[in-house]
Amino acid sequence: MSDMDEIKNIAPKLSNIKKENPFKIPEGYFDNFSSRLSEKIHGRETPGFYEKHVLTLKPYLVAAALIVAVIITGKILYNMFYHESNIGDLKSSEIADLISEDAYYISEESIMDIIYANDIAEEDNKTDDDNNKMTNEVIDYLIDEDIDLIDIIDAIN
Amino acid sequence: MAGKNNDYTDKELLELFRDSERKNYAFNLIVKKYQERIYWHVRKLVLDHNDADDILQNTFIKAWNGLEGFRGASALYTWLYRIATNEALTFLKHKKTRYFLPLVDVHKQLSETLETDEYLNADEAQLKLQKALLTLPEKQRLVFNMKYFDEMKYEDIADILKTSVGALKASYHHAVRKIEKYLTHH
Repeated sequence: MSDMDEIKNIAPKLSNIKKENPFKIPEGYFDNFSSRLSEKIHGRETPGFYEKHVLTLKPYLVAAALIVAVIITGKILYNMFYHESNIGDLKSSEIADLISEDAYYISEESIMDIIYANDIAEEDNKTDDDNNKMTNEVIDYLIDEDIDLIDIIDAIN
Repeated sequence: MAGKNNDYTDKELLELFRDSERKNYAFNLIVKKYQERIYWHVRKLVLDHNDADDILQNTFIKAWNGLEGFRGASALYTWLYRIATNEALTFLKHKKTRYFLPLVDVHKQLSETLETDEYLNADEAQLKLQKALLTLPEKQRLVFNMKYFDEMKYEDIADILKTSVGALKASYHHAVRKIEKYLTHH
Protein backbone atom coordinates (compact mmCIF):
# COMPACT_ATOMS: atom_id res chain seq x y z
CA MET A 1 0.00 0.00 0.00
CA SER A 2 1.40 3.41 -0.97
CA ASP A 3 1.75 6.22 1.54
CA MET A 4 -1.19 8.10 0.01
CA ASP A 5 -3.44 5.05 0.07
CA GLU A 6 -2.57 4.63 3.68
CA ILE A 7 -3.43 8.26 4.37
CA LYS A 8 -6.78 7.83 2.61
CA ASN A 9 -7.57 4.95 4.92
CA ILE A 10 -6.55 6.47 8.20
CA ALA A 11 -7.28 10.14 7.44
CA PRO A 12 -10.02 10.60 4.82
CA LYS A 13 -10.66 14.27 5.71
CA LEU A 14 -7.00 15.11 5.32
CA SER A 15 -6.71 13.32 2.00
CA ASN A 16 -9.68 15.31 0.66
CA ILE A 17 -7.85 18.60 1.09
CA LYS A 18 -5.95 19.96 -1.90
CA LYS A 19 -2.27 19.34 -1.48
CA GLU A 20 -1.33 22.54 -3.30
CA ASN A 21 0.99 25.01 -1.66
CA PRO A 22 -1.22 27.82 -0.34
CA PHE A 23 1.65 30.20 0.36
CA LYS A 24 2.74 32.93 -2.02
CA ILE A 25 5.89 34.97 -2.37
CA PRO A 26 6.53 38.53 -3.56
CA GLU A 27 7.07 38.78 -7.30
CA GLY A 28 10.63 38.12 -8.43
CA TYR A 29 11.64 36.99 -4.97
CA PHE A 30 13.77 34.03 -6.08
CA ASP A 31 15.24 35.98 -9.02
CA ASN A 32 16.61 38.61 -6.66
CA PHE A 33 17.46 36.44 -3.71
CA SER A 34 20.99 35.43 -4.71
CA SER A 35 22.05 39.01 -5.49
CA ARG A 36 20.62 40.23 -2.15
CA LEU A 37 22.42 37.40 -0.41
CA SER A 38 25.64 38.14 -2.23
CA GLU A 39 25.46 41.79 -1.13
CA LYS A 40 24.93 40.68 2.43
CA ILE A 41 27.81 38.20 2.39
CA HIS A 42 30.30 40.46 0.65
CA GLY A 43 29.04 43.48 2.53
CA ARG A 44 30.18 41.67 5.66
CA GLU A 45 33.60 41.14 4.18
CA THR A 46 34.07 44.84 3.37
CA PRO A 47 34.38 46.96 6.48
CA GLY A 48 31.11 48.06 8.01
CA PHE A 49 30.54 51.25 9.93
CA TYR A 50 32.17 49.83 13.06
CA GLU A 51 35.26 48.55 11.30
CA LYS A 52 35.49 51.62 9.07
CA HIS A 53 35.10 54.35 11.66
CA VAL A 54 35.35 53.05 15.19
CA LEU A 55 38.30 50.73 14.60
CA THR A 56 40.16 53.35 12.54
CA LEU A 57 39.70 55.95 15.23
CA LYS A 58 40.46 53.50 18.02
CA PRO A 59 44.16 54.49 18.51
CA TYR A 60 43.22 58.15 18.64
CA LEU A 61 40.33 57.47 21.02
CA VAL A 62 42.68 55.51 23.27
CA ALA A 63 45.26 58.32 23.17
CA ALA A 64 42.59 60.91 24.00
CA ALA A 65 41.31 58.77 26.86
CA LEU A 66 44.86 58.44 28.21
CA ILE A 67 45.43 62.20 28.08
CA VAL A 68 42.17 62.83 29.92
CA ALA A 69 43.10 60.17 32.50
CA VAL A 70 46.53 61.78 33.04
CA ILE A 71 45.00 65.23 33.47
CA ILE A 72 42.41 63.99 35.96
CA THR A 73 45.01 61.99 37.91
CA GLY A 74 47.36 64.97 37.96
CA LYS A 75 44.64 67.24 39.24
CA ILE A 76 43.72 64.78 41.97
CA LEU A 77 47.37 64.41 43.04
CA TYR A 78 47.90 68.17 42.95
CA ASN A 79 44.87 68.73 45.14
CA MET A 80 46.06 66.02 47.55
CA PHE A 81 49.59 67.34 48.04
CA TYR A 82 49.62 71.03 47.18
CA HIS A 83 46.16 72.33 47.74
CA GLU A 84 46.27 75.09 50.39
CA SER A 85 43.74 75.01 53.16
CA ASN A 86 40.91 77.47 52.93
CA ILE A 87 42.53 80.74 53.79
CA GLY A 88 39.33 82.05 55.31
CA ASP A 89 39.72 79.50 58.09
CA LEU A 90 43.03 81.00 59.24
CA LYS A 91 43.41 83.65 61.92
CA SER A 92 45.16 86.91 61.13
CA SER A 93 48.22 85.94 63.14
CA GLU A 94 48.53 82.64 61.25
CA ILE A 95 48.30 84.44 57.95
CA ALA A 96 50.97 86.86 59.09
CA ASP A 97 53.25 83.98 60.04
CA LEU A 98 52.63 82.37 56.70
CA ILE A 99 53.36 85.54 54.83
CA SER A 100 56.47 86.37 56.82
CA GLU A 101 57.96 83.01 55.95
CA ASP A 102 57.52 83.55 52.24
CA ALA A 103 57.02 87.24 52.10
CA TYR A 104 59.38 87.87 49.30
CA TYR A 105 57.79 85.22 47.12
CA ILE A 106 54.21 86.45 47.45
CA SER A 107 52.81 89.29 45.41
CA GLU A 108 50.94 92.15 46.96
CA GLU A 109 47.77 91.02 45.22
CA SER A 110 47.98 87.63 46.88
CA ILE A 111 48.40 89.26 50.24
CA MET A 112 45.35 91.42 49.64
CA ASP A 113 43.34 88.37 48.70
CA ILE A 114 44.39 86.67 51.92
CA ILE A 115 43.53 89.69 54.02
CA TYR A 116 40.13 90.16 52.40
CA ALA A 117 39.35 86.49 52.72
CA ASN A 118 40.25 86.58 56.37
CA ASP A 119 38.13 89.66 56.85
CA ILE A 120 35.05 88.03 55.38
CA ALA A 121 35.53 84.88 57.46
CA GLU A 122 35.88 86.80 60.65
CA GLU A 123 33.07 89.24 59.80
CA ASP A 124 30.47 87.51 61.97
CA ASN A 125 32.69 87.24 65.03
CA LYS A 126 34.43 90.56 65.05
CA THR A 127 34.28 92.81 68.07
CA ASP A 128 34.83 96.56 68.42
CA ASP A 129 38.51 95.92 69.16
CA ASP A 130 38.87 93.88 66.01
CA ASN A 131 37.34 96.66 64.00
CA ASN A 132 40.00 98.96 65.29
CA LYS A 133 42.74 96.57 64.25
CA MET A 134 42.21 96.37 60.56
CA THR A 135 39.76 97.91 58.13
CA ASN A 136 39.59 97.97 54.41
CA GLU A 137 40.40 101.63 54.43
CA VAL A 138 43.60 100.99 56.32
CA ILE A 139 44.64 98.33 53.87
CA ASP A 140 43.83 100.55 50.94
CA TYR A 141 45.78 103.34 52.52
CA LEU A 142 48.81 101.13 53.05
CA ILE A 143 48.72 99.98 49.48
CA ASP A 144 48.20 103.49 48.15
CA GLU A 145 51.16 104.73 50.14
CA ASP A 146 53.29 101.94 48.77
CA ILE A 147 54.10 100.72 52.20
CA ASP A 148 56.56 97.86 52.39
CA LEU A 149 55.16 94.34 52.73
CA ILE A 150 56.81 93.85 56.09
CA ASP A 151 55.01 96.92 57.42
CA ILE A 152 51.70 95.57 56.23
CA ILE A 153 52.38 92.31 58.04
CA ASP A 154 53.19 94.25 61.17
CA ALA A 155 49.96 96.17 60.80
CA ILE A 156 47.99 92.96 60.61
CA ASN A 157 49.62 91.69 63.79
CA MET B 1 31.80 18.19 -15.89
CA ALA B 2 28.33 19.42 -16.73
CA GLY B 3 28.09 22.36 -19.03
CA LYS B 4 25.60 24.89 -17.93
CA ASN B 5 24.34 26.35 -14.75
CA ASN B 6 22.53 23.96 -12.49
CA ASP B 7 23.25 20.88 -14.51
CA TYR B 8 26.22 20.59 -12.18
CA THR B 9 26.07 17.82 -9.64
CA ASP B 10 26.64 18.68 -6.00
CA LYS B 11 30.08 17.10 -6.21
CA GLU B 12 30.98 19.30 -9.16
CA LEU B 13 29.66 22.38 -7.42
CA LEU B 14 31.77 21.62 -4.38
CA GLU B 15 34.86 21.19 -6.55
CA LEU B 16 34.13 24.51 -8.21
CA PHE B 17 33.68 26.13 -4.82
CA ARG B 18 37.12 24.95 -3.71
CA ASP B 19 38.69 26.73 -6.68
CA SER B 20 39.25 30.17 -5.13
CA GLU B 21 38.77 31.96 -8.44
CA ARG B 22 35.37 30.40 -9.02
CA LYS B 23 34.19 30.28 -5.43
CA ASN B 24 31.58 33.03 -5.80
CA TYR B 25 30.29 31.61 -9.03
CA ALA B 26 29.95 28.13 -7.54
CA PHE B 27 28.19 29.41 -4.45
CA ASN B 28 25.78 31.37 -6.57
CA LEU B 29 24.92 28.18 -8.43
CA ILE B 30 24.40 26.33 -5.17
CA VAL B 31 22.05 29.09 -3.96
CA LYS B 32 20.10 29.04 -7.22
CA LYS B 33 19.83 25.28 -7.09
CA TYR B 34 18.52 25.00 -3.53
CA GLN B 35 16.95 28.34 -2.61
CA GLU B 36 13.39 27.37 -3.51
CA ARG B 37 13.35 24.00 -1.82
CA ILE B 38 14.94 25.38 1.32
CA TYR B 39 12.65 28.41 1.31
CA TRP B 40 9.46 26.34 1.18
CA HIS B 41 10.76 23.99 3.81
CA VAL B 42 11.35 26.95 6.13
CA ARG B 43 8.22 28.87 5.16
CA LYS B 44 5.97 25.95 6.09
CA LEU B 45 7.49 25.99 9.53
CA VAL B 46 7.54 29.71 10.31
CA LEU B 47 4.64 30.67 7.99
CA ASP B 48 5.55 34.35 7.63
CA HIS B 49 7.39 35.28 4.42
CA ASN B 50 9.70 37.86 6.01
CA ASP B 51 10.74 35.43 8.72
CA ALA B 52 11.34 32.74 6.11
CA ASP B 53 13.41 35.20 4.09
CA ASP B 54 15.60 36.03 7.09
CA ILE B 55 16.09 32.36 7.88
CA LEU B 56 16.91 31.54 4.28
CA GLN B 57 19.56 34.25 4.21
CA ASN B 58 21.04 33.07 7.50
CA THR B 59 21.07 29.52 6.20
CA PHE B 60 23.09 30.44 3.13
CA ILE B 61 25.40 32.76 5.07
CA LYS B 62 26.18 29.87 7.38
CA ALA B 63 26.65 27.63 4.37
CA TRP B 64 29.06 30.17 2.84
CA ASN B 65 31.08 30.26 6.04
CA GLY B 66 31.04 26.50 6.53
CA LEU B 67 31.29 25.18 3.00
CA GLU B 68 35.08 25.39 2.99
CA GLY B 69 35.17 22.74 5.70
CA PHE B 70 32.34 20.64 4.26
CA ARG B 71 33.86 17.29 3.38
CA GLY B 72 30.76 15.69 1.92
CA ALA B 73 30.02 13.21 4.71
CA SER B 74 26.36 13.86 3.86
CA ALA B 75 24.83 15.09 0.63
CA LEU B 76 24.98 18.85 0.09
CA TYR B 77 21.21 19.24 0.11
CA THR B 78 20.96 17.22 3.33
CA TRP B 79 23.52 19.50 4.91
CA LEU B 80 21.68 22.64 3.73
CA TYR B 81 18.32 21.28 4.90
CA ARG B 82 19.85 20.57 8.28
CA ILE B 83 21.17 24.11 8.64
CA ALA B 84 17.82 25.54 7.54
CA THR B 85 15.88 23.28 9.90
CA ASN B 86 18.06 24.26 12.85
CA GLU B 87 17.73 27.92 11.95
CA ALA B 88 13.95 27.67 11.74
CA LEU B 89 13.61 25.74 15.01
CA THR B 90 15.95 28.18 16.74
CA PHE B 91 13.88 31.06 15.39
CA LEU B 92 10.68 29.58 16.80
CA LYS B 93 12.39 28.88 20.10
CA HIS B 94 13.61 32.47 20.33
CA LYS B 95 10.16 33.72 19.49
CA LYS B 96 8.85 31.70 22.40
CA THR B 97 11.49 32.85 24.90
CA ARG B 98 11.65 36.46 23.68
CA TYR B 99 8.01 37.03 24.54
CA PHE B 100 7.91 34.50 27.40
CA LEU B 101 5.19 32.71 25.51
CA PRO B 102 4.07 29.17 26.20
CA LEU B 103 4.06 26.93 23.14
CA VAL B 104 0.29 27.19 22.84
CA ASP B 105 0.53 30.97 22.48
CA VAL B 106 3.25 30.72 19.85
CA HIS B 107 0.91 28.51 17.87
CA LYS B 108 -1.89 30.97 18.48
CA GLN B 109 0.31 33.75 17.17
CA LEU B 110 1.27 31.72 14.12
CA SER B 111 -2.39 30.97 13.58
CA GLU B 112 -3.13 34.70 13.59
CA THR B 113 -0.28 35.17 11.12
CA LEU B 114 -2.11 32.78 8.82
CA GLU B 115 -5.32 34.80 9.06
CA THR B 116 -3.63 38.06 8.13
CA ASP B 117 -0.86 36.85 5.80
CA GLU B 118 -1.05 38.73 2.51
CA TYR B 119 1.09 35.99 0.98
CA LEU B 120 -1.35 33.20 1.71
CA ASN B 121 -3.85 32.04 -0.84
CA ALA B 122 -5.62 29.22 0.90
CA ASP B 123 -9.19 28.05 0.62
CA GLU B 124 -11.13 27.31 3.80
CA ALA B 125 -10.06 23.67 3.96
CA GLN B 126 -6.41 24.49 3.40
CA LEU B 127 -6.51 27.16 6.09
CA LYS B 128 -8.08 24.65 8.46
CA LEU B 129 -5.33 22.18 7.65
CA GLN B 130 -2.66 24.81 8.37
CA LYS B 131 -4.33 25.53 11.71
CA ALA B 132 -4.46 21.80 12.45
CA LEU B 133 -0.73 21.61 11.76
CA LEU B 134 -0.15 24.33 14.33
CA THR B 135 -1.56 22.09 17.03
CA LEU B 136 1.35 19.68 16.50
CA PRO B 137 4.68 19.95 18.35
CA GLU B 138 7.21 21.66 16.09
CA LYS B 139 9.28 18.60 15.31
CA GLN B 140 6.19 16.57 14.51
CA ARG B 141 5.01 19.36 12.23
CA LEU B 142 8.39 19.32 10.59
CA VAL B 143 8.23 15.59 9.94
CA PHE B 144 4.69 15.86 8.62
CA ASN B 145 5.64 18.68 6.21
CA MET B 146 8.65 16.83 4.87
CA LYS B 147 6.78 13.58 4.38
CA TYR B 148 3.31 14.74 3.36
CA PHE B 149 3.97 17.92 1.36
CA ASP B 150 7.58 17.48 0.21
CA GLU B 151 7.13 13.72 -0.27
CA MET B 152 10.62 13.04 0.96
CA LYS B 153 11.82 9.55 1.72
CA TYR B 154 12.02 8.56 5.36
CA GLU B 155 15.72 7.78 4.86
CA ASP B 156 16.44 11.33 3.67
CA ILE B 157 14.41 12.87 6.49
CA ALA B 158 16.29 10.64 8.93
CA ASP B 159 19.58 11.95 7.51
CA ILE B 160 18.52 15.56 7.88
CA LEU B 161 16.98 15.26 11.32
CA LYS B 162 19.54 12.71 12.52
CA THR B 163 16.93 10.32 13.78
CA SER B 164 15.82 6.79 13.01
CA VAL B 165 13.37 5.85 10.27
CA GLY B 166 11.27 3.99 12.83
CA ALA B 167 10.93 7.06 15.04
CA LEU B 168 9.99 9.14 12.00
CA LYS B 169 7.29 6.71 10.88
CA ALA B 170 5.76 6.69 14.35
CA SER B 171 5.91 10.49 14.52
CA TYR B 172 4.33 10.90 11.09
CA HIS B 173 1.44 8.53 11.78
CA HIS B 174 0.81 10.16 15.08
CA ALA B 175 0.71 13.55 13.35
CA VAL B 176 -1.71 12.30 10.68
CA ARG B 177 -4.12 10.96 13.30
CA LYS B 178 -4.01 14.20 15.27
CA ILE B 179 -4.67 16.28 12.18
CA GLU B 180 -7.58 14.06 11.17
CA LYS B 181 -9.03 14.43 14.65
CA TYR B 182 -8.72 18.23 14.46
CA LEU B 183 -10.35 18.33 11.03
CA THR B 184 -13.21 16.19 12.28
CA HIS B 185 -13.94 18.36 15.30
CA HIS B 186 -13.47 21.84 13.77
